[in-house]
Amino acid sequence: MKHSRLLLLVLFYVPAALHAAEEPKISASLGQDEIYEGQSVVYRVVADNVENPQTPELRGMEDFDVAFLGQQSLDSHQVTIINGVMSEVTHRGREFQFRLTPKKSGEFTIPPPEIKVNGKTIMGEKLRLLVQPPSAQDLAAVELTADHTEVYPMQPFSVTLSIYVKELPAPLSDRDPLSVQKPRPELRIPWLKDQELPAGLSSAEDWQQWAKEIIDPEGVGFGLNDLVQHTAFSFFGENSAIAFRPKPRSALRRDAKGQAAKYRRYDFRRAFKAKQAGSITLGAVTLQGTFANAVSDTGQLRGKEIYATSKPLAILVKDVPHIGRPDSYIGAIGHYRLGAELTPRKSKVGDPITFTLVLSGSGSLAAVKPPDLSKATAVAARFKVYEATQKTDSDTASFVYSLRPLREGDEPFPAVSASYFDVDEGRYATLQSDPIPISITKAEQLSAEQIVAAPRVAGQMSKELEARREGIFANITDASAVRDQSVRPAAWLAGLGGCLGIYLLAAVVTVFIRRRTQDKSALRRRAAAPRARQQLRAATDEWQARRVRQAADLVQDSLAGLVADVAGLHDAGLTAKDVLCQLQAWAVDESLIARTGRLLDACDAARYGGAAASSGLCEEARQVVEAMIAALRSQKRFR
Amino acid sequence: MIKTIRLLQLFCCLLLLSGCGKPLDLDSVRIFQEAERTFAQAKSPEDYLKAAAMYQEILDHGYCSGAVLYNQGNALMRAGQRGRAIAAYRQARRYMGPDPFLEANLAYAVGGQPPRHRPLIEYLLFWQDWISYPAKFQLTACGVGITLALAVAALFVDRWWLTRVMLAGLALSLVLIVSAGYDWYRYAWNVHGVIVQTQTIVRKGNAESYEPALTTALEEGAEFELVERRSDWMLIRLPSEQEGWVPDRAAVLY
Repeated sequence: MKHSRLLLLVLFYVPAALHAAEEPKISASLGQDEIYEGQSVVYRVVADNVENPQTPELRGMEDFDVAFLGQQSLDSHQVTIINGVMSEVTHRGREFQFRLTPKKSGEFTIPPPEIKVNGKTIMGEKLRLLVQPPSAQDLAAVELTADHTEVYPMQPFSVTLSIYVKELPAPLSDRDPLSVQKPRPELRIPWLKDQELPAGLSSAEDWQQWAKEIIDPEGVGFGLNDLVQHTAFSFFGENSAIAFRPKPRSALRRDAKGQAAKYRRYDFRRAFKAKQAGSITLGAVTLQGTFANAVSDTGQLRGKEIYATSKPLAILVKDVPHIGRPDSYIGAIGHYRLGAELTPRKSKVGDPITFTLVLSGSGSLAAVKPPDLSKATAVAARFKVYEATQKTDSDTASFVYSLRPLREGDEPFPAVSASYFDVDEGRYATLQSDPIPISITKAEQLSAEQIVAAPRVAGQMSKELEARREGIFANITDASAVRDQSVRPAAWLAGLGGCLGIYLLAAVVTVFIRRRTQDKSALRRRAAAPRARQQLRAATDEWQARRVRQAADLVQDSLAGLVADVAGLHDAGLTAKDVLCQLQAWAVDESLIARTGRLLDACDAARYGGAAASSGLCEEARQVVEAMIAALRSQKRFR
Repeated sequence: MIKTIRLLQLFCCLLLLSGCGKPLDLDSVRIFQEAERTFAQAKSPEDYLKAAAMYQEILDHGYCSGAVLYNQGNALMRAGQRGRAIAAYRQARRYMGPDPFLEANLAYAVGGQPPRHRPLIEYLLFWQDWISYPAKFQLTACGVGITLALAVAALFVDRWWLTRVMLAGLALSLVLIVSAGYDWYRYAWNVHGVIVQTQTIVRKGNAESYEPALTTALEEGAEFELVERRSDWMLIRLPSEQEGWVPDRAAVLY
């Protein structure tokens, strides 16, 4: 009963707890609650228990510049096994990060973020942010200037960040004001790293390379965007901050009282290029730190914590002018040169040739397009021009044209014009490729014999080359010329294997036959029985002709020959005793051996005793020979 | 002996037939003629695409014809689909051999692309592109058949010149087998492809989030070899030996 109650409790409690955990929830937080004007703050929005949430909508952010920094998954899956009972907890979440840059000072309320989940809007909490105005002071000032505030795309321009720091009061006025700063003042440049640059703006050199050149080896200078140097102790979490200090120069500047005062000026200069027309704004640079403003009676410097900010810098990137734009303008901006190549240099009317134009230099090729050769009268009059293919790298654009000569002649391929906008001169410049020698001869007409593959129309193959339409040769129109040409390598391999198999079989059979036909003793063995029978038939004939002696000789020859052929012996010198010994060696039945012995004795008797001694000799000889053949066959002696 | 020779004849026929083709059936001929009519009367890229689809229908019937592929390439070229046209022409080239019309159209489609890198074996088997894929198998079948007949004859007839002719035939057959086998390897085992989208970015991994593997995007018509497929992405090797991933939809394979 107790167990049942516990089970019920678990059954009701766990789903309820899970249900509570699965409620979608939005939370928001700020990296800092209080910042200075010009500084930015990271705004985090976390969506909990939402499957694939959309990016939150941030409404009412008119007082901020908002930049989306990215998102990361907070999904997790936890499996716990206690006493063999497995429980799983799955958490779905996603964090979105934004950078908020206030446009002015004051106290702001950040409205709650909103996310739509299954058609329902879920809201987070609102937050408070205090933005302090820059300090009213004359100890340090930050200025952002550019050598050109209006540029063309890909025209280089430099931006100078000037930091003015008031000279130290006497008697320390000859010292660099930064050399007495501890901790060092911190500069924050929102567009320091290349990836932080506004869209459409690129740095002339890598930001790290630029920063390296102004690192102060003595550690005197400004901190920059919290950049640190990794040291041998970095493993223990100790990174050393880097100091950046351009060469200082003395400058006069009006102080808070309106009087000219001596300052040290530090210029951070960096070169940029705008990639496309439009307006670009470089965000305000801020400076925060303690600067000396007085010397105590004991000679100690007294400092004041200040926060200074520059004004944002706006750069207008103008589009190239329409006035004076030549027809041959191809969209390139910068400085370029033009090269051309033509292959082959010898061709026939109608044959395809390739013309390549290469535009190389520095600048923007973002909007570059191939020159329209069909509008170049000198080219179009002599060549059929097809649409060009284009390949663009960072500094090079290649245009490849397919052309077909329309008429023969040895005039060089005409110069081709292409114009670009020269940003330094502020006007269009026209380039011309060099004329290229080319020799075009009359088209050779192919005969039917020269065409090696399927004729276009069976039975009516033209003696001339097929008509061309728009550069493509005509179709194969004869359906009877169309065949299934599938290759079946598996069937082919099977055929090949079969052929090889048959060859091997034939080879084996041949060897077998050859062995049998070339073995003389085997041939003699196989012929032994017929030969013995033949001799017996001859003996019977002699017997019937009353030539008893000859008949007895033939009977003995038949027996001795049979044994000699099977044993591979010479039958001429084989005696009756040899025959009987050989039969015994073959383990022939004793009765047959005895019978053979008696027959051989009867042959001797008949040879000398005449017909009386040989009555029934042939019949007995036939039976003995047949019995001997059967006995030897059973022993496989004839193979 | 007679049985052996008859069996040998049978297998030689099988070898030859494996490279020969049968004519189209009536349905396919009708589609072919309809495609030709559509092609001839086409006025817009859509009409040409319709013709290309009809040629594809014939191929889908199980017929593999150089002529059909060539016509399909023409239709795709006229429809403005250069990448797909190159794929069709390349396949047609396997079955048609060195056809001057096909070569001209293929060169026109390929444009100024650099020629592909030829491996050493193609310099050794210099005739590789002179003979079509099926013709190589037919030639090899003839060579193997004749050599086998000579070899069988040499078993029964002891003549020195017969043995030498048979050995020469054997050497020739081996070369032909290597040639046909190499074609089989490069066409049946290696998968080739052509980019069919403009500005296709080759990436270092099989997702859009990976960085570009090359400094420039691939243009339509760029040819490659397929190395590996993973979900909707393909690892490709360009003629310059550079490798990278492109989405499936950006290319056609053949």
